[in-house]
Amino acid sequence: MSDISAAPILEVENLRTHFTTRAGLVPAVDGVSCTLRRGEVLGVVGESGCGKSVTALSILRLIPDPPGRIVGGEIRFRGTNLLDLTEEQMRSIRGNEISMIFQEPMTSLHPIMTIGSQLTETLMLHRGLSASGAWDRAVEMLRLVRIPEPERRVSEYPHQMSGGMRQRVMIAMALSCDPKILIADEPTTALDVTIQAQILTLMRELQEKLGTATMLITHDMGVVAETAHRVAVMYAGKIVEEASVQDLFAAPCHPYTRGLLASIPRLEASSVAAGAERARLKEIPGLVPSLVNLPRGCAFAPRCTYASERCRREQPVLEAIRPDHRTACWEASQLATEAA
Amino acid sequence: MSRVIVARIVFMLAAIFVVLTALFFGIRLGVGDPTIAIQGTYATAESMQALREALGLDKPLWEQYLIYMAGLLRGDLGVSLQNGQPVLTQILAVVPYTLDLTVVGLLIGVVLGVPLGFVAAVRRNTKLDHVIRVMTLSGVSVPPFIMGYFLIIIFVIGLGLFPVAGGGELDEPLSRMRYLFLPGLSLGLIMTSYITRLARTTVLEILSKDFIRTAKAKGLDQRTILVHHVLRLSLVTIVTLVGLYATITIGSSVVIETVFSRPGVGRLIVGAVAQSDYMVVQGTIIFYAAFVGIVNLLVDLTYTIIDPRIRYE
Repeated sequence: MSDISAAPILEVENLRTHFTTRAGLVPAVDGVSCTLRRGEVLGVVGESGCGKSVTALSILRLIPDPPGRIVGGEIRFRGTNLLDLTEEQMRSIRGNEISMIFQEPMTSLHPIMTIGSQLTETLMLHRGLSASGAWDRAVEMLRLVRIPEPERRVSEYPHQMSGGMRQRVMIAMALSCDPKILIADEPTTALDVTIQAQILTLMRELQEKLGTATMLITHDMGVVAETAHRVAVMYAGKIVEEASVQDLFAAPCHPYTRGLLASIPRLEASSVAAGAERARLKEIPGLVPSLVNLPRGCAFAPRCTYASERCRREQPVLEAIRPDHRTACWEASQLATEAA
Repeated sequence: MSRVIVARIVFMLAAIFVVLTALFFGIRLGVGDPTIAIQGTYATAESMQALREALGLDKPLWEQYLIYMAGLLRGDLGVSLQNGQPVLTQILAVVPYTLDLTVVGLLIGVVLGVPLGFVAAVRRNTKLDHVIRVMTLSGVSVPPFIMGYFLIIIFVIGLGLFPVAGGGELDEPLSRMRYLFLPGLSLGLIMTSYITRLARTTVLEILSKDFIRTAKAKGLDQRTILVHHVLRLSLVTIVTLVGLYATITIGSSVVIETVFSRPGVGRLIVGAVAQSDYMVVQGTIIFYAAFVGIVNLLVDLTYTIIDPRIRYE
């Protein structure tokens, strides 16, 4: 495992990305701060609409404008604020220093370009390779992501491949220029469960081999537990808890994180075998609030069983509760003592 | 692939056969007597009967049909009931003019329309887009003959640059082009409007796709994305439309031909229908049906070049 105390390679500070919609201003990302360290996998979890994908797209400055716009904050990549770069400078970073894979492998590849030409495009642009050099490298990348018969597959079209194969191609494409950072936005969500496992295994192995710092966005706590070193939990456009995987699963501080963990179904051999009374799966009561009209205090307060007067009045700030474990909850220390 | 082409040609011939058969009986049962059209007010019952016999119109319908079809197999389209000229000669004399007009009209439409549509899509909701939208909306709203008169007013009456009527000599390319300019431009401007609007919509739709986001995430610039990722894919839609327009244009070319007093297939068939000249109508319809069939075949073959997902096996 990589050294998680390593220096940060990406620092997101107080990022705010807002969308203008007919319903009003949507602060999809509202003051997100997080750090990605060299060689680590940072899991970003949360329900749909919590702002995880918008955070990812903001880092590459791929938010469609209009309706979206990064209105504040800093995104420092190796010390340089990406928000200060020109569009041209930004293009030399995309797909080269920072690359991204998306949720929908079925639609994320160009339908009428060969796999090879889609792979070589990046290599010729960022690496200045010749057409034949890039082609060889493309075949090599396909072999790396374990696509059988890469020499033949490289001249095929996406429609000749399955979803899992296409996601492998996306991974090959993203890693082809040896990026420093890989952002994976729900890379397995659209795939069959067995294929999900294969892709996750592949990503983990490649990550260990290449040491690419990875931001893994998912709504699946199971994926986080298996793949990530550290976790950031997002709720309504903010990070509510950030900790190492071990710490977060052992001692979750934020009530929302606790809710997420409690809602994971578990197969316990004893209860299944004995046919014992099965524990009802815990859900988080209520719905994610509309981002147009957020509560004044903590956005989670209306759904939170521990919410106090202060929670409804004042927004909690992300603070260290232990070394390397931060949470944004007024009641966190209270909860921690209760748990202990 | 060649088997597919042969199959399509057989299918086309079958379609021509069906259309022709329907037309053959329909026109004889529905349209007026050609002998009246030929002899006019001087016709008497005897003279009309004599003419019918001379033209073979007194025979039973099925016999006329068999005679016609037998001739067709030998490549004989018969002679005009009006002037006794071979139908094939008449058609071949005007086909080049119609093809000139159609090809030039569509060419102008594609050459101007595709880039305009791209610009409008890329600069969506800017002033430029609004200007293009107003222009193309006017273009599709103006009937072809108004467009024709409009150009005549500017280029002929105003500037005196081009001849107003006629088609020019077939064997003199320069004269042919001079006569083609205004009719071609009239049709071309209308085609440009349609194709611009279609190209804009198509490009906007493609730009919203996931694979374009992928292309941006790869660090490609706007130009590369438009040229390599959008253009070729947009051609699938544009080729379909151009093929459709080609068949519609050739059928409705009569309007432009009339405005510019140009010879052409459109005027030939309208004139023949007015005079109940069965033979010319039949011959022209064969030409139309073959044209539609060939254009559709070309469109389908173009698909296989553009889009690897489409294969005819």
